[in-house]
Amino acid sequence: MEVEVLVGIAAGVLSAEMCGVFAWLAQILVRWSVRLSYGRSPRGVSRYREHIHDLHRIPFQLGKICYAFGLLGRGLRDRMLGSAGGPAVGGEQDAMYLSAAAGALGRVFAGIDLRILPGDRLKEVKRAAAQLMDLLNRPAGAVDPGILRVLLPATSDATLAYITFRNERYALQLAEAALAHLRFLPAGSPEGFAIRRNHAYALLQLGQKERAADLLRSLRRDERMVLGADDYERVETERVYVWSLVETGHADQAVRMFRALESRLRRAPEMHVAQLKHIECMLSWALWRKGDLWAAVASYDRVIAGRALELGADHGDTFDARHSKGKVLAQAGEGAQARVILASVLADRKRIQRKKYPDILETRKYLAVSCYFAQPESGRVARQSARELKRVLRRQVRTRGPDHPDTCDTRRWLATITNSTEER
Amino acid sequence: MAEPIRVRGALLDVLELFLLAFQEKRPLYGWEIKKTTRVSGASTYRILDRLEDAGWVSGHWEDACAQIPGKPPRRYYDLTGAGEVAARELLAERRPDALRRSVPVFPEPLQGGA
Repeated sequence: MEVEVLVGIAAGVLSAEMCGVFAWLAQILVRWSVRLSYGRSPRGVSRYREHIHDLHRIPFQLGKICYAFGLLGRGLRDRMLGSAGGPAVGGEQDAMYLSAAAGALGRVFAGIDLRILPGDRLKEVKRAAAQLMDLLNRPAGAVDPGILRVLLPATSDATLAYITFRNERYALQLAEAALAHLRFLPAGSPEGFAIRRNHAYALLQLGQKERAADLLRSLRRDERMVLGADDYERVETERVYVWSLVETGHADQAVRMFRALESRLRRAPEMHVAQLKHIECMLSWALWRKGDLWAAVASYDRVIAGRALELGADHGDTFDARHSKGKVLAQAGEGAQARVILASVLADRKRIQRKKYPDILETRKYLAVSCYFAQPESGRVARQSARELKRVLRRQVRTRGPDHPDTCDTRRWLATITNSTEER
Repeated sequence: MAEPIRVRGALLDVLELFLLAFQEKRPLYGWEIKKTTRVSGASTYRILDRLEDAGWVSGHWEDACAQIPGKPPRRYYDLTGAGEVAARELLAERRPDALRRSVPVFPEPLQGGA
């Protein structure tokens, strides 16, 4: 029955395509949509002629009708909103809107974990982020410094939340939009430091390592001048800076600096639990990059035990530490151990985290790599691993971009495994 | 009164293209802007509305003699002098890399001179 309905629709579309009905209908829809957006003004007439020109360039009549429906949707939206682009910037009414919006946004992103947010709540947060972006996209200097002091910490929280959610590109866009406003705050404002740090952090995670390291170096210098060398406010920048050292190939120095930072935090008058946990996890990775596999694995074991105890076994950070331990073992060729760990992380991630969360793909990738290393002599396993890596790569190209570091890493593993199967 | 320009990614894409076309001394038309920037049709024309209102671009219809028979005419857009300055300032603030990459800020030195 369903097949018959589909065939009927396809036949209708085909005959409409042949008879030119869609082209005629598209012109009518374009006229309506232009009237909805512009009325009968001279500009409306001009835009109608331009859209007709564009319709002429679109291949296939079905394409023309889709274009016309898109325009009609926009026209209806304009009519419902009563304006084309929302309220004009400036004026008393706008200032009141801005103040209320900033106040509401200030509370949305603090301490939020997008990885485990239910769907409807995630939609709300995404809407809030879009509103935040809209406010930040106002011309620099047009936003009152008092409102900026509320908006910028919210932006800082939002960028961090999006980096953790592995949407570094959006985090970068938010940070870049916020950076334009910093020159309208007094030099040395803490809000500015947080934005600069997260901007560099997003760049670092997107693979722009040298540029991020340079930005962090200059931020460290500025923070040291304003806050002093021993201020604990600086720890977060210090941590991200040392991470940039790991990423730029200075693992030895990074291990030393992470250890110094760790011992300094343990002696601090206040507890810095969250920072300590991040440092322990990053130190584990730095140990591996330094070439000390078993020290890294032991360090990850401590991190996993600590996180499971304090945050819970099903917390995203606990999964991340388990994934990293498996990844380190897989990269070192310890396939059998890695396979057991990563298979259990993948099952847990699928149970708890959002289906489209990008790290699920990363765990799938390293599970495939570990399967290959567990039985390197088996051609069948190698082919299965390569097939899985191809699937992961396709998804990563689409969702993360072809030049994202994770995508490039997948491409490298796929090439390694494919070459090994061809050599057999 | 003209509505103030709202700065968004799509607007910056369009301005980048306008500056490039300005360097090459050629006008742009809606379809070309849309195809190059991958901004949707409705948004492209909305951006052009704003830019025209702000006096950053000016539009004119294709010369009837230059028009290809059987095809609807094009409306061309040029960056105005004020628009060029404003677009450079905006891109320098928001996308300094893009400005360096696609649009030389200073004229190229003359070849062969002493």
